[in-house]
Amino acid sequence: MISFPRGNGLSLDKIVADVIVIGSGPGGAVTASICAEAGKFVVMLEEGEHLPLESAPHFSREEILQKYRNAGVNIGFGSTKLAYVEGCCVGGGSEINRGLYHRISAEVLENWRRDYRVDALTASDLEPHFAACEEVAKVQYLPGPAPQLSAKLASGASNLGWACLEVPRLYAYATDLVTGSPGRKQSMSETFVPRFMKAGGTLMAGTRATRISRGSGSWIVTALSKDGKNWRQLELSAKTVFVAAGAIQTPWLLRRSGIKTNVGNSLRFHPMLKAVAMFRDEINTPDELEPVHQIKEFDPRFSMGCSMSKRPALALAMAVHPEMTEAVDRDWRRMAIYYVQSTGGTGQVRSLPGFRDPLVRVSLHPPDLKELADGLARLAEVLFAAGAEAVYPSIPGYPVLRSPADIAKLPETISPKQANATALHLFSSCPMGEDEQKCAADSFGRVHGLDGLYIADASLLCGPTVVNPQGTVMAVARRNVMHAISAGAI
Amino acid sequence: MSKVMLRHFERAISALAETVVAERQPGGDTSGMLGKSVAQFLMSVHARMPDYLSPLFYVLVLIFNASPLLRKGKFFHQLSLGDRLSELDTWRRSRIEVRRRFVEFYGSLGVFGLYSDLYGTDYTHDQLPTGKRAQSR
Ligand SMILES: Cc1cc2nc3c(=O)[nH]c(=O)nc-3n(C[C@H](O)[C@H](O)[C@H](O)COP(=O)(O)OP(=O)(O)OC[C@H]3O[C@@H](n4cnc5c(N)ncnc54)[C@H](O)[C@@H]3O)c2cc1C
Repeated sequence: MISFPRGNGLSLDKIVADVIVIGSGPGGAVTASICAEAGKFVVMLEEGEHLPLESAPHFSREEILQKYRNAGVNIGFGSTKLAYVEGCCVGGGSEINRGLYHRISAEVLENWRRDYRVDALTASDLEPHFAACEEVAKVQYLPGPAPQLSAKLASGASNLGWACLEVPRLYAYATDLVTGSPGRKQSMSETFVPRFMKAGGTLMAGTRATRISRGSGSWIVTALSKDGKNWRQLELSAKTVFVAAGAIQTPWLLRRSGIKTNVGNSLRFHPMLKAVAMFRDEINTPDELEPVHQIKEFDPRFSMGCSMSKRPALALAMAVHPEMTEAVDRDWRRMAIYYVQSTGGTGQVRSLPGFRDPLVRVSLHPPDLKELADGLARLAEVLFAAGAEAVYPSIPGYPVLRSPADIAKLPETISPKQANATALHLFSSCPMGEDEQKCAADSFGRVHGLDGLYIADASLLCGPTVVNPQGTVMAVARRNVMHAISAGAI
Repeated sequence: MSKVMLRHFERAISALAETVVAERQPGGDTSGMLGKSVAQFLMSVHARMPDYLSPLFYVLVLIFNASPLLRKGKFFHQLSLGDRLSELDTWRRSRIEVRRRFVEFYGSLGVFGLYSDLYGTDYTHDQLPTGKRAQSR
């Protein structure tokens, strides 16, 4: 039942639902659609707008303004600063990411089970949930040859005898393509969100949850909803609330609601460094698909891959080499961006009284920085093995590498001030498990000691996934909500 | 924030944008449209920054704008293009990290904005943005 009592000139609207889901990213969208399909009256709140995939080209200025939180300007503070990125629109990060897809390895799950005492989280426990999510959000390999900048990485790896693979994407490629785009990205707004709405779910976009509190027999979510240029306050109540606002916003919301035990203390991420490689031949041609290769030789220490290398992105990645400005304009077709990504570093998320945005503190310790430095050297090595004529690390003050011998000139470690690291994969800020010393939620996402309050996003994952995380976020969300439904908790 | 300061902030951002455009496209923005578009982008990013960062950047932009006052008796936005370019270079080569980072931040954001204008449609798939349904034979 939705009621909007507008009497007495009050602008406070009240909504009563069976289930409230806060956030419509991969965790929230999967959870909400399953609850709605189970016949519950579900309201899903999403702070960002509901925009079609085609509202902006991928990684464009428009996309950053429309779909990224804070236009992509987020900084984790500490002795090393870390730029991080989150989606803020219906579908969350799945709308702005490249959808590179993996299932998490059995070894990583085993570590989580052991270290956090998580029940029923083996690879075979998760298998049906991966499979079910992959039915809805299609995961496909490229229908034809890989783009050249991707194939270059694979050839470098093969020359060195390193393990490298083509990674499938959450993407439905068109077959027999004549015109138009190469297919349809399988983001949440294309897959689980329409499913949720078809099952009768209510999506409230442009609505930000600001507090969660305990009412009599139910949870109350206070929210602000955009009404043209004004904000309208809402009060929603439900027996069950899933918080799926992402690994930064979920702990922010819980902490400012007074729920603080093991919340926001153990943020983890995949810190990433980039380098631009210049090849003799043109490898960055406009009509190719997105790159898909990753080097897995050094997992779980670090992995490497290719980034979107359109000219605006290239100019950004080369900003630390201003002397190369003209080269970018002249030779951009011979240049491409590559990355190395490790698993080190920890962080904390706090809500600052009086401020809307969470404060994130990060620590990258000397071994973490050393690992990244090793990774960068290995990345340069494989790029030279692939035929690069020069490699430009995207780190201020770093030298241009012109031959494999120059790799020895790279510093042994990265100084905390210099590291120009970014993180796209964020998790573990509210880990799940039975170890109440460490975990915010139980093995199935219910906040310890609080009936009816669940966490359903990347915050729950106990540590770095090592691989791209979205598949794991979706599978764990599905596992947990199915458990709650079958236990009659919803 | 006072109206005067806000005006200074906006002028500084416009001047920064024009300078970044001139650096990348010497003589290429005769109509001034590219500079305006980049300035608009920088203002939009500022408006969306985390609420504890935007006042900081606001103050940094004002300091940047006022920095040539002592030496040249003018705000950055009042300088000729040539002087603005050398001012930007001075900050870029400064020994003070925050000055270098400031120029790096606005420089790279500005170039990203500019290149999105100039080359955003490089990639044919995106002329029909990632979205338009593919047509089969
Ligand atoms: C640029 C980029 C590239 C990436 N590439 C890949 C990739 O190729 N493969 C991969 O597997 N992963 C990738 N990732 C990571 C992946 O997108 C995330 O792991 C995933 O989106 C996390 O899902 P989530 O549900 O935890 O949170 P999110 O996706 O962050 O969703 C949370 C949602 O909640 C909303 N929200 C937050 N606070 C509130 C509030 N108070 N009220 C209402 N709504 C709120 C947010 O606006 C957001 O839409 C990438 C991420 C980024 C940013």
